Amino acid sequence: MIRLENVEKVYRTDRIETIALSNVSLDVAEGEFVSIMGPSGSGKSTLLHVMGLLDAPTKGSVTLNGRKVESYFDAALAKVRNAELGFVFQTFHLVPDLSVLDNVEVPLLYRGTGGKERRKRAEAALERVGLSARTRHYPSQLSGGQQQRVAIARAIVGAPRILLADEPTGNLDSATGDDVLDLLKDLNTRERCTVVMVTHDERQAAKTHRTVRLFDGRPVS
Amino acid sequence: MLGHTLKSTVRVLLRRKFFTAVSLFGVALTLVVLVVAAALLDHTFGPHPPEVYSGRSLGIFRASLKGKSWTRNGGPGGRLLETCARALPGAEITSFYSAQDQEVTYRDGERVSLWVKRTDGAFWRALHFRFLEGGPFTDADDAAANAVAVVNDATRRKLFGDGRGVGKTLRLDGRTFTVVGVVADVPFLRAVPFADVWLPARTARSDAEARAWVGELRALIVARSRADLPGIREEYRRRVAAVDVSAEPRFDRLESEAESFLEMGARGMAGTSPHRAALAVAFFIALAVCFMALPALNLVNLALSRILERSSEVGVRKAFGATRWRLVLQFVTENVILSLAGGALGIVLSAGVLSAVNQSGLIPYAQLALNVRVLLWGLLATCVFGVLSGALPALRMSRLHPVEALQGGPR
Ligand SMILES: Nc1ncnc2c1ncn2[C@@H]1O[C@H](COP(=O)(O)OP(=O)(O)O)[C@@H](O)[C@H]1O
Ligand SMILES: [Mg+2]
Repeated sequence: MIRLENVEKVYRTDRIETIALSNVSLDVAEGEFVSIMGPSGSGKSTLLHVMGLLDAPTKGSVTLNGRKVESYFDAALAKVRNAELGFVFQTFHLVPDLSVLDNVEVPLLYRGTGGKERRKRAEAALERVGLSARTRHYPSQLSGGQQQRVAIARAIVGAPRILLADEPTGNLDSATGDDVLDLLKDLNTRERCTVVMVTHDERQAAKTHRTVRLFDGRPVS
Repeated sequence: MLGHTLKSTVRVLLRRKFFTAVSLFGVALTLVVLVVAAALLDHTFGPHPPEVYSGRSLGIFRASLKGKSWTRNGGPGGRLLETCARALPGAEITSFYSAQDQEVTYRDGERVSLWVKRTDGAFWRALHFRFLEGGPFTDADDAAANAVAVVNDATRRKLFGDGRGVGKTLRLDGRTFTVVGVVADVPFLRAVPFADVWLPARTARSDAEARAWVGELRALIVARSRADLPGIREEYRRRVAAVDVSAEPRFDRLESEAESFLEMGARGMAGTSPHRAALAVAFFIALAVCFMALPALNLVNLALSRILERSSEVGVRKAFGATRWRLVLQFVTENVILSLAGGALGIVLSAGVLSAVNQSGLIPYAQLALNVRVLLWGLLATCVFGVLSGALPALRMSRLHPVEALQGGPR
């Protein structure tokens, strides 16, 4: 499903060179739920960004759904992200000026789905995460846990095969965090979504199929 | 898509009320000034009755007698016009009239000051006044120096109250004139037709004007067609150059041109260059552009701050499949919506300002109007405004790397 081969990511700023990832090779199978752990600054987010085509690797290659990503042109990447990937972020990143429903509709906007269909599917996604009652609200009127559910609804509204979640429970208290994790787990088992999740929580990692540990940009086992 | 953008735009603008107010006001104010300026120019130079032939008309407004150390500037005198401006080839109507002059009459012992023009009969054929009562005086009236007058509606009201004007008399310049016609008021800025009272030219007490090369007369020439205009200018220039003024002490040559009204108006700005009308128009356009540049820059700035604080949104939209151009389109649309709202406000305000100017009497008999042409230009300017001020920040923002955008903007 996701294959990284000898991926290296180097950030160059003025004089400093930071090696965020070095020689990472990784395979994630279809339907797998993989957690990524590691100390702060070990390259977890970078790894997720490279998988999600939000960032280009300095070296190495990324293969999604059997298709190797050859060109990192804006329009081509946008299309793949839209069709195959769903993102969930630690800080939710909901658009404050859009209602819950409009936020969830965003991915469909970029594949040209008509207004009625968008609405229907966004409502279905919100129902899936248990938030049908809040569609007219704005993000600022929701609790953290509710906001993250909206973000998950947005990530799954386009029915992507891969969900990438960067510390999705990092800003939530542990009970709410567990709910969100259960939701991801449910999506994984019932909808056969492939999920890759960064987490700091050993308890959560234990609930996933497999844990990849990073240290200084390298996988350790 | 548009619906989505519209909703989010309204929300963004309402969230930042101060920014929105400043932007709206900036656009509106700029438009007000442009629309009022355009209305004034149109009011002064546009093709409005009574100047129904302005597309194929020329005027003779100035003449100079020049010598080695002396120059006498003024309008053309009667002698110059009779010698050079009669029966120019291609001319259909030729009218000579005097520049308006302020004269005084009395009503019930009270002083009433009036603008008076002395004209011939052709004047009324070259210009189509709207007669409310009676009609114009004729060439025969002028030839016989009949003491008849045409007055405008405002003067009729001033002198005769609510009653009819035709048949009433008024005393001017020591003579008693009988009113034969009443016309609708003509705006003060329409230099050619404007007056309060029009009298036959030959009723003037002195014939000094008729004998002068340089004086205070004007000529209005309506050509058979636009194509005849260059020939008329040329022939007039030729005839003026051929005039022998050696009999005049101190002077040895005469200068005068037939020109369009716009050229006359441009003289103050662009001098006597043959391209003065084009220069004046270019100057006004440049002025308008400069004038619009400031609020446009201001809008760019405001738009930039409004868009920059939304880097997380840019990141999210990119992560979910927005291309760069999709984002540019969104932000530009936002700005165009804002500018159009400002434009609408500006048009409403302009209408208010124009009607206030009309009613204030600041410009006598002003009929400044928000015409469709000015409106469309205003609308176009507004859209250009919106696109310009939105494009820069939108381009900058859309270039953001998605990860950087998610992490809070450009570094
Ligand atoms: N845009 C960037 N420019 C320079 N260095 C960066 C950038 N992003 C991340 N890094 C560096 O790369 C390393 C890995 O960062 P990251 O992937 O965010 O770690 P994690 O998510 O595991 O905390 C860190 O040392 C970080 O400072
Ligand atoms: Mg991180």
